[in-house]
Amino acid sequence: MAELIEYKCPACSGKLEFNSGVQKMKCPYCDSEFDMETLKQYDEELENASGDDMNWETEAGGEWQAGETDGMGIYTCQSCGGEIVADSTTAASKCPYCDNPVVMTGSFSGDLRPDHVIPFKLDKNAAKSALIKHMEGKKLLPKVFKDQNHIDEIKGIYVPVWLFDAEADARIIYKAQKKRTWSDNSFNYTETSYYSAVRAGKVSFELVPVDGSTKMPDELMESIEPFDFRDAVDFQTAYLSGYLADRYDVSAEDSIERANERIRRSTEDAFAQTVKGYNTFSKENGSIKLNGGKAKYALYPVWILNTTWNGNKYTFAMNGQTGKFVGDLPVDSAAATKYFWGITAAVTAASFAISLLIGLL
Amino acid sequence: MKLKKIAVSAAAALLLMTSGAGFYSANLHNDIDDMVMITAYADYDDNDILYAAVDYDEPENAENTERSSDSQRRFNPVMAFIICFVIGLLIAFIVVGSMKSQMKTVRSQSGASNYKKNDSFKLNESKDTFLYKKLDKTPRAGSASQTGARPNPPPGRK
Repeated sequence: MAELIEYKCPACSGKLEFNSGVQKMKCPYCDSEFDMETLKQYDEELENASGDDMNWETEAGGEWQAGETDGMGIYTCQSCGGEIVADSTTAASKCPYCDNPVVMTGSFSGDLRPDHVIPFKLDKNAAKSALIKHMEGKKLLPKVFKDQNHIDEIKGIYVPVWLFDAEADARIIYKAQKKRTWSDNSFNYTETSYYSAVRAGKVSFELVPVDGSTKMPDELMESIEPFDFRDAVDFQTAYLSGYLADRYDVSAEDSIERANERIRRSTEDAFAQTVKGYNTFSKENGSIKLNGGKAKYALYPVWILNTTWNGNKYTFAMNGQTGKFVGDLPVDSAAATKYFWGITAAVTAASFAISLLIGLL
Repeated sequence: MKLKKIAVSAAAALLLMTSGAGFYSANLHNDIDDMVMITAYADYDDNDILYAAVDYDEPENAENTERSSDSQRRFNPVMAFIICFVIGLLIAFIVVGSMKSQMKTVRSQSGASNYKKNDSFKLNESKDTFLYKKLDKTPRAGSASQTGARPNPPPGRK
């Protein structure tokens, strides 16, 4: 027995029936009419659409050469459990993340060797100046916060990151609409035409970074992007001298999800920009496949400062290569209230004065 | 800084509008008062209704009333102040909101557009298929259909 094929209405998902009067498929629920060939094609497009396939080759990093890790110690924070690495010339006394004392717990070994490192381009003075500039001109910043900031405790730390390269192969189906309106003496008319727009193609991404440390907030690390990989060099332990390095505790496999999310978002944005000529459109279906997905392990330079004020922790970070500085600042509620009522009073008075002048003329 | 400039421009634009708004509403309020005054005089006599509507000189004290109502007609301070206060609140809200937003600089990246390879985007398939059309019509108030007239066809159609 031949297979019974039923078509669903693209507008309301009701079961379509053949209408002999118009010789088309018609929905008995919403009265939409469809040409048979178009319906068949549309149905095939939806059936052929597959799910995402975003897999990666996550073997990254290398092995340490003999003697390379000599003199490198691991310091463990007694408070947050964070582990940082420092060479023999750099004494780590406080945790860069929570500012509590650290204790040297052992020598560094066993971890993956980074593939690349972007060396620090900006020194501690540049970081201090950036912090001062970041706090300048902020009228709602409590004065005490500025004064109590222990600016000298700003630290340079290499943050472990996983870098992902991939070519995204995408096929996306959009539902788009065009509207036309007109009127006559009796009625206002709105004609809406519905289209199915298919877009397929490729886009490549390289070196998408995902923070490999749970101690470094992902949001903070992403805020100081982008890093310019053209300044990256093959890793040598000598680059760590004078700086701290965070040990990775998030594996490449665990970082994949974030990389996928960012690549998916950018791929969808790139394809959406090609849907033109419609009043509105929305994604109906789509699939993204990754080809050649690879991960690398690198260290990125960050100047970091942690401050606690009024029981809240504030972390500031500066991109050690480009100088981009970020960090949420506390808001002085009393100052905000004063400004609010002050501006209200000033604007009210000024506009009332103008009204008065116009009224008397 | 950009947000601050936008907030200040919005505040300046609103400030210019308030003076007009205060004056306009004050006048509107007084126009309504005038209409009430005219109909009140109509209560004296049926014949006076016509006089009241046409000639401001009747009744006798109409001239004095007219002069005082003129000065009141031009400016209602209470209404103007309320409007100016509301606009002031709005502008303060925008400006302080913008100042607060400058204090937050930590934000996640939404995508990976900074890491897209230059000229790597290739569109292999671009197909737009017409599915169906829907026509909605709503009757216009006081339309010809209510009088039984035939509606006109859409433009461009025979």
